[in-house]
Amino acid sequence: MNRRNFLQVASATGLVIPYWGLVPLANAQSAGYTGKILINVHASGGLDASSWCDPRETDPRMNNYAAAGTPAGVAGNIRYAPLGNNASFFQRFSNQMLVINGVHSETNGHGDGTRAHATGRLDMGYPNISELFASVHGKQLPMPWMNSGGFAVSAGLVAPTPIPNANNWRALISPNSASATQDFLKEADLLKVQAAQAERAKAQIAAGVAVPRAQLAAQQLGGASDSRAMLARVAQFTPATFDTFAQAHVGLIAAQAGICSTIQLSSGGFDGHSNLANGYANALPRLTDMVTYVFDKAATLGLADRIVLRIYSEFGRTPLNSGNGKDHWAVGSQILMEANPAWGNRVFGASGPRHEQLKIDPATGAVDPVNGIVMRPRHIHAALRQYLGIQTNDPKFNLKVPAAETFDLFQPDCQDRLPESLTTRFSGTSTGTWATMCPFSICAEPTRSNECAARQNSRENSSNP
Amino acid sequence: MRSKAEFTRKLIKSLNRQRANAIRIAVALAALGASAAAVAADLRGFVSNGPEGLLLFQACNGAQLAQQTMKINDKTPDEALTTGTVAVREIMLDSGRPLYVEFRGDVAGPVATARQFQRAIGHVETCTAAPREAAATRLLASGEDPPWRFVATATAARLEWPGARPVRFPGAPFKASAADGKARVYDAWSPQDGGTIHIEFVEEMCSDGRSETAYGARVTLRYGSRSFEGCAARF
Repeated sequence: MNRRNFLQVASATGLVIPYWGLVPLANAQSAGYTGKILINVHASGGLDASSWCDPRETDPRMNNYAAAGTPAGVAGNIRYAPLGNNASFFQRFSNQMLVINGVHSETNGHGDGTRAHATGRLDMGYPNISELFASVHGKQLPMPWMNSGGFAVSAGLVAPTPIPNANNWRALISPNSASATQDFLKEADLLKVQAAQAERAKAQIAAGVAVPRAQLAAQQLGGASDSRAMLARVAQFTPATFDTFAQAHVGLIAAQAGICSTIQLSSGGFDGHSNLANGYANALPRLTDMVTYVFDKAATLGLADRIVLRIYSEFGRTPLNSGNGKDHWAVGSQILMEANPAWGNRVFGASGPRHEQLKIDPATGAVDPVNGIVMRPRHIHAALRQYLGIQTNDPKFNLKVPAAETFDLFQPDCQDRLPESLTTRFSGTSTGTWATMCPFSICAEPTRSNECAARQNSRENSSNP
Repeated sequence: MRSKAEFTRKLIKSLNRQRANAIRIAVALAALGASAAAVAADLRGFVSNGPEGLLLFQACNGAQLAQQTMKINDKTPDEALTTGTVAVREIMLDSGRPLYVEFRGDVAGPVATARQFQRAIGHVETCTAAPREAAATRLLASGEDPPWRFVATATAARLEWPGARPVRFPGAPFKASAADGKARVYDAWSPQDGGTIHIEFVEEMCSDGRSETAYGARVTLRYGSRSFEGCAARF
């Protein structure tokens, strides 16, 4: 197998091979990636927040389950809609998740919403957070950003690698494999051919007889061989058969082999303009089952502690329309997940009774109609960039979030007011204090840390002229 | 010399005769075409974007999609059909796929001329999945916040919104608005349920920007002290 054949296989499988996967010898020989693995899950179509993690169970115009008198479910501090497999999903993962409600997408369009939530900005030209993460953590890897849906336009930092199906994956990492058990050529014969090719290239370079172009070709052949060796390392992690969620499975294998740092997945069926309940009866379990699979599989592959997962959609949805469906609505929700986060079991932000946009206190996540700020994708991304250590100084990619608008998503000790979920349950309002509003022991009022107070002061100072 | 002039004269005479015949044939064909084009009908089907801004149309014949693709000649006021399809594509999922449309117009050969845009819907995937209105429906208007719907035939009409009993009206004619020649109005009184209704229709593209639907008219409806705004798909 020479470089030409290798590239032919790659192009036949529809894969984009990043140039640094073929050329730089030093990079190809580097160790595999062992840091955090960012997984973005795009719930495609516009996921209805009140069918998900911002339930509305008293207004029959909002949901069929409300009309039927079915109450919302509660898992820890998190409330969820009584639909699909939500109950088992939220009960299992509530301690691992931060629910962010009331995020204003700034658009009702699918394309724009997909881009805004992937990049943090409605404007074009910003990098997908997967791309930014890959450019910081693992740019030297053969396939740092593996993608199977959602926004995949590169801002020029790293190209996405479309996640191939199982057969193409096998063809790429092990081009000599005809199947899981059969090879095209005898392995020994292939190794002899490859060794002869390498010797000849090395001899040509050593003799100095080759013209510069031929020397470059010989070096590239060497680079391709090394990169192939790195891909071949993946073969040891590749099973004979793939799981139901094959794209997620392939991505996790790539992460396990250390050739990938971020995976982008998609789960569709949420554009429910008519008979929403019927469509969501399939779409919601498909989404929750896929995320459950990711965590289960990651655990068996020894990756569970490295996963940071985000579930988002283009926007939210309106109350029920005359076709028993729901139309586009800019305000929606997101969920962030990790294995054992200090920031889990929390709800940050809120939306109105019919998912109207509300102003949110950036420090506490509580509703603050006077001094609060409308939470937009850029705020989530600014907080995520900081949390993941992928801030960039490139002015082109500046999210333009003033210091006064820094949302403390990952600082639970700053959340010294009653979470929106509990205020809605007990009083129907999001104002008040823990002591007066919350009757249970889980509502013990926390103490603000010095760090949190300092950040709040800094925010207030920067907002003063 | 003489024979050459004679030949030229005969040639010109022959050409004139041929030209006259061609004109006669063209006039006859035009008359035929005009009589065919004069039949306006409610058309429904799918539009897709063709080259150089062309809109291509495949009609729904009942549950079946027609094999023939026609060019749409948009003669709706302010090209409402074209702007409506653009508005829907801006917010729909997979915006390149064919878009379901309903319009009033006529078909002549490979060209469908649209005269009145009724509605375009982004999330309809087949002819059978498209919403069907009763053939007798003369007026069909709806809106949100709160959701409401007004349907009228030649003999009866009905206003519906959640939490209230439907209000029934007798049939009533369209009239041109006294205040605005562009608008048409519909006035009626309900002898069974009480109350008067006043509806104004303005024929222009109307979209709420969130239902992946654009309509051919903007509607304001007043019933008693209540006021509703929305769009109309039949008017």
